[in-house]
Amino acid sequence: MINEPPPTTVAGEPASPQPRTTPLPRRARASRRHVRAVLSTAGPIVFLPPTLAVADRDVTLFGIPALAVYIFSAWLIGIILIAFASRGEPAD
Amino acid sequence: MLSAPLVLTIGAGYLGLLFVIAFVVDRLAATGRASSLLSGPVYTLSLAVYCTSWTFFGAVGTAVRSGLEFLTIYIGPTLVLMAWWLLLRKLARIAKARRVTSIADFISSRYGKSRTVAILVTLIAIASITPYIALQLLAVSRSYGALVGVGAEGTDTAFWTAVTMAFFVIMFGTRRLSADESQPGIVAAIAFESVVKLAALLAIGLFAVAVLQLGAQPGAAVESVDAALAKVGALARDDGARWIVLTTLSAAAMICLPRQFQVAVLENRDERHIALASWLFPLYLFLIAIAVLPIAAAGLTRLPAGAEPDLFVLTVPLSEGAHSLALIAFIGGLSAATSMVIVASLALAVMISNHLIAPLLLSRSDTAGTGLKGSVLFTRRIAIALVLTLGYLYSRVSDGGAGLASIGLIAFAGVAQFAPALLGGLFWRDAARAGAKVGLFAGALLWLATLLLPSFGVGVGFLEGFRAVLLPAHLASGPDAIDPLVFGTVLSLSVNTALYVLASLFAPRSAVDQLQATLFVDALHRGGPEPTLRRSADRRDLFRLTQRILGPVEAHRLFLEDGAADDAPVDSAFVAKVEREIALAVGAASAHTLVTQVAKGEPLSVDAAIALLAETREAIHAAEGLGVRSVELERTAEELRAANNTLTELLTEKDEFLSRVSHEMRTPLTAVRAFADLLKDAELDAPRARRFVAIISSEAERLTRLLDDILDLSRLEAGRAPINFERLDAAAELTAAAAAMEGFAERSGVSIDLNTQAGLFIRADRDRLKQVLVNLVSNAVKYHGSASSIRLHAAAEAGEAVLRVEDFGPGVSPELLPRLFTKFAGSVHGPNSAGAGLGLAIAREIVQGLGGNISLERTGPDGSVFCVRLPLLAADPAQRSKPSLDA
Repeated sequence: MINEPPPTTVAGEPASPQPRTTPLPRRARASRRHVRAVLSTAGPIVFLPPTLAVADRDVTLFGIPALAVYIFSAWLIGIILIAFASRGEPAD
Repeated sequence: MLSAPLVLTIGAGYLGLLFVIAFVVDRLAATGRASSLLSGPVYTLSLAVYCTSWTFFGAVGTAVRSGLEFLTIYIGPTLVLMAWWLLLRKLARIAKARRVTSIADFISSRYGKSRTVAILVTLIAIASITPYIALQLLAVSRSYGALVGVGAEGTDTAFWTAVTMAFFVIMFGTRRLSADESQPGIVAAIAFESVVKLAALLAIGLFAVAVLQLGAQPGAAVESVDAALAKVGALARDDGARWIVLTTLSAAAMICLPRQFQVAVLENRDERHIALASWLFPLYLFLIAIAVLPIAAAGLTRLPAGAEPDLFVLTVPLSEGAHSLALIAFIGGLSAATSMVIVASLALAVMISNHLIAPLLLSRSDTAGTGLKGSVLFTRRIAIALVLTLGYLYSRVSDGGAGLASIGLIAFAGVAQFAPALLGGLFWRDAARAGAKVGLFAGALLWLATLLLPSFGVGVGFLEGFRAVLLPAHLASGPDAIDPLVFGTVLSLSVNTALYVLASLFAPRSAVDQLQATLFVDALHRGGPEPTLRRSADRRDLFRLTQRILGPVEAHRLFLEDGAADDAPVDSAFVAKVEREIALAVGAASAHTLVTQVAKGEPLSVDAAIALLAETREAIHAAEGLGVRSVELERTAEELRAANNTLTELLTEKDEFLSRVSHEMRTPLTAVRAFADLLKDAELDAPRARRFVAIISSEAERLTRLLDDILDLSRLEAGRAPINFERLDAAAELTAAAAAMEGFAERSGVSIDLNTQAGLFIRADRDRLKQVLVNLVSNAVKYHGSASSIRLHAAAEAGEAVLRVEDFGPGVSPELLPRLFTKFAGSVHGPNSAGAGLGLAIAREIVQGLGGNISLERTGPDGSVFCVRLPLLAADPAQRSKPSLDA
């Protein structure tokens, strides 16, 4: 059987199957763009060896070394931030 | 230990479930009802094909051996997804617009649809991924062995897994050549598998946390839970390079692994899914990683020393008697292994059939009946079987050997060779085909020599020699030696990148290359019609070609959509569309070659170049427009500032002038009033009265002269003073002025020396010129100082009549010099001198009105020279006639 291709516009853009629910205000979108830019660059820095060396202390939290606590916390914060920055993003 | 039949039954049942899921979703997709199933979360879960059995079992092993280093494998992809706005979005958009079928197709498309590039990428992928598949098969058989113990030898689970997977992929991955290369059934199945493996690992992780509460078992590798956690949560501080290399490799793998490219880019249906995955997938990885820690610690404290850390995931629940949990762990590992095998073999098969086999099939001519589609699908099936056979053979050959343990990272390093060409192609307009070819080739060669072959014990001596040549002795071998993975990765990737950049900069580029560069680099902000190569083709030729590749049904559909008559020539847009459709079956490179054979002529380079030029010009214009505007603004502001300054100066001068004029008028008026009062009040004798009246009269005359001067000057300045031009001899006028001042000079005891050259004909107003000259001569006489003469010169210099008035007086005071010819200058030689000092201002206005200029040529304690220059008349008829008259 022949499978129909998904509907595409002339330029090959995907036709949006459903309209976006709530358009974001311009300022919110701009601030999200900034958060995205910061995350793209700050992400690698947070996990660089020199940064990790700073976090590597002889302290433990429930027996877990400080370094592991740092990495997992930074990771989780990054996830939360990128979730905020990507929320309700239109397909452009 | 569990019984073999039970484990085999559960395993087979699980694989059967995969078939059901894939089948149902495929059915739904065929009737258009799967779109809600294939949503953002499913997309995210399909990305988790990244986590193979190498993750499921191996992460715990790595944590035990190297502490937190295992996190790099999950941090890399997290960073890539955090930058999804820059990278993944663009990749997905281009892949959709260009109908890309694989990563090899993507890179070859970017570099002018180069077949060499496609073949290179395919070969590197095969070399990297086949051992990786072997690793998965091995993981299944080893986990089965660990679970069943004795009795496992009789069943070759790796073989049966390979066979089942080949069957699965062939069944769901090669049913058709769909418009995009998406496979909904397979995506649904691997999304399901991702849920299973995460749930399994989390369950074992929680179990391990509970087990840790029991404390350490005697005879275990580590004696206390705290020590185990410290060991697992530590990081070798001196090896930052390895940390960076591993993070970079896993970041690159996130898009360069053929299976990741398949699920992340080709199977993407909506860019919003990427936005969701940008945090949901890192969260998935986070959960996987966090489950690893307690499992590793539990294995270290509860299992006897020497237990295999790579199997802790299975052996921790098994040793605690939690058999059902061990079974869940086995299923989780199975799902991790099979999902990787499924997608990787499919992606490889597409690349093999499109880039290695299809070009060979195209040379055969007996395909016209059914189209090439059947052959392409058949090749894909063969390729899948071949890839899995190869993988199985690998696993047999290196069974239990150390070779496969490191293959995960070596495969990452292999596919990372695509990164320079892939990323450069997205963002660097000048990246060229030659660069991609040379970079990929050199990178692959070095990767082979420094990483892949040595991992199988081949060419180890060569590698040692190579290191000894390249590195300082203490880094080449011994305790401080550079890690082999770091060495191989850094060397191959830097040479790859360097050659890529250099060759791109210096190699010539074809029109197709440049066109594709524009289409890729500008993919996110392209407006208007997209540029196509200008080609026209005979409709019937093109139809025959399409039929040959796609079969009659597809070909008819395609040409019916166009709706034009049979004999109408087809335009370039339609040719491009047909090429894209054909590319789905045989890849962009082959499709381009085929269509170019049919499409007429190759004047395309000119048109393509023009389109590119136009586009570039637009961009340059926009940039220039901004620059021009700011320059204009600056200039306007500058002009305004200058005008403002001039106005301010004028205002100041006006004030000064007014105060000067009132002062000048006050002096004679005071005198007039004083003498008039005397005449009125006092009884004066007649001679005194006459003298007073004479003074009043002369002061009134001075006032009149002052007012006349002011009026004269303002008329001159406003251009309202009438000037009657006539032909004059400047020398004669100077002589006349001297004659007029003869009496005044004599009274002042000054003689006037005349030194004139006759015949200095100019056009001027006689009275006005005389006014100027008289003013200058009278000034010279007035300020003759101790000298008893002044000197007047008239001469012709460089087309000008130059009249000079020279005195030998004390000179003009320096503070007066800048304002000498303004009406506010005051008296030339001091405030107490007679006259309002408007003379020179009037003189300047007059001379300028006559088209000449007046200046103070020289001044000093030994005298001053004022100079008037007026343009000499060109030799006009009257002047020319003069010599003839003389003759």
